[in-house]
Amino acid sequence: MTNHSPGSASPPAAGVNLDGFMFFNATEARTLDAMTARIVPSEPDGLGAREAGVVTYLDHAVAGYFRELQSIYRVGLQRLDSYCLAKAGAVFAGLSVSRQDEILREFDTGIGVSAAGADTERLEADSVEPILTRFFAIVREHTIQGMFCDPIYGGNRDFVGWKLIGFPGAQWEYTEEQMRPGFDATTIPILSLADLQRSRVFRHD
Amino acid sequence: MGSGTPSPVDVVIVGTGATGGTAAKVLSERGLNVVGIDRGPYLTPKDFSGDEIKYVNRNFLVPDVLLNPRTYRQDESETAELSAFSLLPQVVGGGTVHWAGWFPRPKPSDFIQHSLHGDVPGASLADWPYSYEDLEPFLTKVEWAFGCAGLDGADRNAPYRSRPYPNPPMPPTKFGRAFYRACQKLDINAHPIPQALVTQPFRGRKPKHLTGFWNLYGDPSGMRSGTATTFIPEALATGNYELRTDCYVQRIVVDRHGNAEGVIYLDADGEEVEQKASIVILAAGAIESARLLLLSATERHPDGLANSSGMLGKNATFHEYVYATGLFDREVCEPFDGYAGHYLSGGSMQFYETDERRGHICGSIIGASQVGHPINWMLPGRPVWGEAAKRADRDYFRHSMKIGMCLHDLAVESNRVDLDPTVKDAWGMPVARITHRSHSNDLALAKWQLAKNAEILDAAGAKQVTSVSHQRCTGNTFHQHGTARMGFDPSKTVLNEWCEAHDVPNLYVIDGSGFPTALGVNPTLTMMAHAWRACEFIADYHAKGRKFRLDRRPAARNNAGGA
Repeated sequence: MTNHSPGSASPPAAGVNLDGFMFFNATEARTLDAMTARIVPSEPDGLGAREAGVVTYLDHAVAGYFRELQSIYRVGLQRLDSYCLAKAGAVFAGLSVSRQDEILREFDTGIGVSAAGADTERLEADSVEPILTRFFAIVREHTIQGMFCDPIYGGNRDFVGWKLIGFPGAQWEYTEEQMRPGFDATTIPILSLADLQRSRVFRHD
Repeated sequence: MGSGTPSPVDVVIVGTGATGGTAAKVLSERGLNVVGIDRGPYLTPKDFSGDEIKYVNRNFLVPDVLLNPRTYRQDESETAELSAFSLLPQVVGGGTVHWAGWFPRPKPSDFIQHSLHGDVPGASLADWPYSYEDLEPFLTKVEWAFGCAGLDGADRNAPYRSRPYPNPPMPPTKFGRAFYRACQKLDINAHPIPQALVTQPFRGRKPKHLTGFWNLYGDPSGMRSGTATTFIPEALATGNYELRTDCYVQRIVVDRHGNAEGVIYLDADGEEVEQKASIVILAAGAIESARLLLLSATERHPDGLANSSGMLGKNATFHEYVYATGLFDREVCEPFDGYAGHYLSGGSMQFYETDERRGHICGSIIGASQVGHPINWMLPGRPVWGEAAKRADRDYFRHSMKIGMCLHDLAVESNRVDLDPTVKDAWGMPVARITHRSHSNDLALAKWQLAKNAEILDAAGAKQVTSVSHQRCTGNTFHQHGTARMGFDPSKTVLNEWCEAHDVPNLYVIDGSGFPTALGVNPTLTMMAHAWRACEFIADYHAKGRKFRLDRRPAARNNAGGA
């Protein structure tokens, strides 16, 4: 996995393969890149899903832990592009961002769904809309995970997500002084799991 | 691990969590020869970290729902659907591995709900066969052996305690200070919620961690009290306790006289093993203990073991965590930074006792807490994608807090655990099916208390307050009780006052299964004291061949509530 050094935060062009993918092909990655960039947009501060490398998180997760969701990702991505072609004359990644937002709004139930609710056996029987509704709910849930997870999972690159909200990371210890009113917590250096594993904080030997 | 039939022991305990760990310590220290069995591995502090994906979004601690799900429905008219309802950690230490460590005591009124409220329509309230006064010595024993921090005298209506708290409370967090200020304004008696952790050097433990990763995560520091880092090592040190991990108990074996003979389990290699024991103790949680008794049905016990009353699995009670979240204006208010200090800071028992002017009976503990971590933080009704969602994350993650409650769950006979008729686990055994609908009293209680919590957030200066709306129980507290009700009458209850099955004289269920009614507080301290009490009975009486039954007049033994 390639890490960008802090400071090189200019957003990569959609579909540029930064990290290489385990599961998704280039078309799928490009569509997901466009979707995730609407779920957490880069504007106005350059702190969005694209900068956080969320598609890399999705790729690692779907290749591994969420392997039972591989079909809904494959089928969902195909159906989304077919739907966009029929309705708007271009695949999802080829539409303007405002048109992309309109399409996603059509499939937004406003509530999260647990990934475990995806039933791959029902994919063939279901009509387009229930599949895309479920697919968008899953991508949305996983995008938030990729935005705010520890960077060890492939997302939250350069702590983009944690910087956005002001979270100092995986550290297990704050001082009483840091908890007192008036203390500026943004001065606490952000720590990742890898930082902690390299340090002696949690060495038990 | 070898399969077959290892040597018989005095006691086999199924489960190593809050109550199984307590039993391991008490019985092995009394010199009994004990085997403890757990379905999961023995993880220790070196395995843990503040990794939100691993602990909150994936199943590092809890069972994999693809292998071992549960099913849930609201009532018999529905077909139960696959569910992750109340999946406790499947590791040595059980729920005490991931908890926030709320450790409040119950109140005397919790033990006499039927005497206090009579026959409430739609509910099946009952008195416990013992009282708060009976349990008090064991509450104290647990607090002092396990480690607990609290502030003596802070709860103005606290019941009698025979010893002070072993440790003083944690320092307040920023949101805790806001909660205390608001309660002062509203004349609400607020105080630190007692917690199962140590704040001073205590029995070899050296606390130093002030962190928000205290709810749902394993603890890498050893500061929080859990049976995997206290009672289990103490039991192992006696030389009388053998711990078998990654072993899945499939049924209890009964001999031709109707006594429990031992348990059959699949060991870590998938081999079937029979462990014989003079006494069998279940401590697998109220859902799995009930399931195991139902799975142990035989020709002689066609409806499940210890179920001649037909009551096994019924009157199941589950707390639901519900809350109101307050958003504070970042231009006006300093951030709370809830990730520092503790998940929980400040609470109140002010609304605990029944006040019928509120339109409902019973009440619940309330507590102020942070909103969670970046992926899963809790803001009811928040936008979930797009620029609005991004703005909400940026503006409110550091500027919000919540006040939650363990919603009381009145016992209802049709709320129950049984075996799902179609869904099986990966080993081919029927899974637990939960049927549960909240009693209308509890819906009213949630509504009233959440409005009160919102009022406190208002007084704290929140710009906007949003509350969850309680519709159905999801098992989000992991608190489980009532599935093997204890009492004096074998035709109406499953266990007697010592947690021994009426039908099977050497079978005990010492987890929350025996609770005739739920509490308004988090149940773990009460469960551990309940287990400790049963295990002292086992050591002092059962194991010595002596008999002792309590007086049948439980209400007369109480002096609370004028009963």
